Amino acid sequence: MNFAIQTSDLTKRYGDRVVVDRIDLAVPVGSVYGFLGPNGSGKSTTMKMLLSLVRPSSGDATVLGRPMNRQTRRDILGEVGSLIESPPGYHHLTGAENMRLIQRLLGLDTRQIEQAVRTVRLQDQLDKRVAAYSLGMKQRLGIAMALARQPRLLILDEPTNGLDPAGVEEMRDLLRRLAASGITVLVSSHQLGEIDKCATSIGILSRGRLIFQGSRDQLLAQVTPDVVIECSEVPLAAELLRQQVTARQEGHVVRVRGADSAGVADAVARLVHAGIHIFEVRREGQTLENMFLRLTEGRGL
Amino acid sequence: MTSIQAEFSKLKRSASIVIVFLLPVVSVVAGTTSTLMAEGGLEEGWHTLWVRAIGFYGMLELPVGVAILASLVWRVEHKNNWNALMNTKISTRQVVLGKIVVVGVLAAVMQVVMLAVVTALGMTLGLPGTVPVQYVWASLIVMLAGFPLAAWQSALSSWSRAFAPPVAIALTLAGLSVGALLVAGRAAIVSPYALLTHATQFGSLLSGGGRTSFPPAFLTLDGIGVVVVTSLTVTVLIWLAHSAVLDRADIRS
Repeated sequence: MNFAIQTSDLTKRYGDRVVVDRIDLAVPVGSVYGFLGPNGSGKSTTMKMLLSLVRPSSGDATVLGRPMNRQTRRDILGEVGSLIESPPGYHHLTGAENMRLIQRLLGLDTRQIEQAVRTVRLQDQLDKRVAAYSLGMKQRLGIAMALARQPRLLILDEPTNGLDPAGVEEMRDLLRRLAASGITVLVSSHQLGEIDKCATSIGILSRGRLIFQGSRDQLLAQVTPDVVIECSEVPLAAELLRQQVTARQEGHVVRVRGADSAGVADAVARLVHAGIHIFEVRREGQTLENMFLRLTEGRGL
Repeated sequence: MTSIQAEFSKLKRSASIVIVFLLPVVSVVAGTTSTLMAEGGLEEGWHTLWVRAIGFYGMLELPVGVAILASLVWRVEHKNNWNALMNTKISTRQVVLGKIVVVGVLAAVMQVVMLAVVTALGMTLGLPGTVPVQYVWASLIVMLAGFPLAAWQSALSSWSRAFAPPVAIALTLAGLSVGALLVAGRAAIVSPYALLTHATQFGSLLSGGGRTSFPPAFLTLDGIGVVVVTSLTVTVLIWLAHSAVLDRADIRS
């Protein structure tokens, strides 16, 4: 497989503090890669290293097939659009003036600018000063500025931050459209639901370490969902099951963790044998949110 | 060239335009008022007017003005544009050069305004003719000598996210440089502050011996040559060093 971004042992330390810990990122060409993790897990620092805004303490990154470092960065950046942390844009200028600035700076033609603006649907807001833009509009302007150069790779840091639900949906739609046009997108978020539905690949960062990387399906398959048993004598049932599996009482039900089909059959047999009445046994639908809570050890996203 | 053009288009609606016009007006009027009130007044006409106008301006207001301009020009980047600024194919040297040129040109325009204000004031006061041509030449030298300081203050302002510290540094170093000029004379012009102050002294010697606090600079080949060569050399050195430092450092945001 071809990768737009590959890192090996990428690490950033500030003094004794390891912010990014030996991560091996692999972002396939043409994918929307959801880069997920709690706030402070090292996502922004990783992205800055991918752009060589921050130098790795050790390890290296290959971007669009070339090693990314201080010597090569300006060359590679001609093909990379990015939005890191707060959206860029000169607040005292209008949207149109900001776009003209980028056009002049990068030697782009008007068609490229217009296309970028249309892609983020900002064409009717261009005459306003950026200071008067909503956060969502600023994000879109930032993305238009990144898109105007027609990049092969787009790196977006929390582009849904501070957006309302409609704005988030619009951003998802935008990411899908970008991917459909062949651009590889690396997009970070600390809120899972905002990105996972349009991501084709997912990487999860927790305390600087990449604890999962793969497709959405692989992620779902990685953790077996809980089984919930409704029965009589719940405390006794829970105690019985605990001898064999991870189980706990949760209100009027017993929750069993990590049991496969045989394990469930076994648990049921054991309860029936003990004379406990079973009313319902169901496996919970797996949500990504649950999985994240588990993978990140309850720190949430 | 494109990054220089880009810097100029960022000036739209910028407070820097106000500084460029307001500072010389206030400075010239304040600097000459006491002379006009005093007995004797403008004894040597245009020359007295120029010496009184340029004295304080060259010592403090022009260097501090350059510092304010540099802080203003960088402020829009510190707000939210650092990452974007460093994330294009445009090289760091180009980015830094754009800033130096825009600050330097603003400072140069400030000198033009200063000259215009002196001219207007002199004519209003009924001085004969117009401002002597030697002060036009002197102003051209000042305009060039502003660039090393523009480069230096631009470097300081790129490091300081806050507006005031680079201006405070300018105030302090400009003061020290005045001292250095008085003690060491022309050798002090390795300091961009001293160089600029020195450049403002061209032609500022009255035939009656009246002058600013500094040894005057003379419009001779040697006098001009030293300032031109120093200006160009120091500007290029600061430009290259600043670019190299930015290229090596991690971005802070």
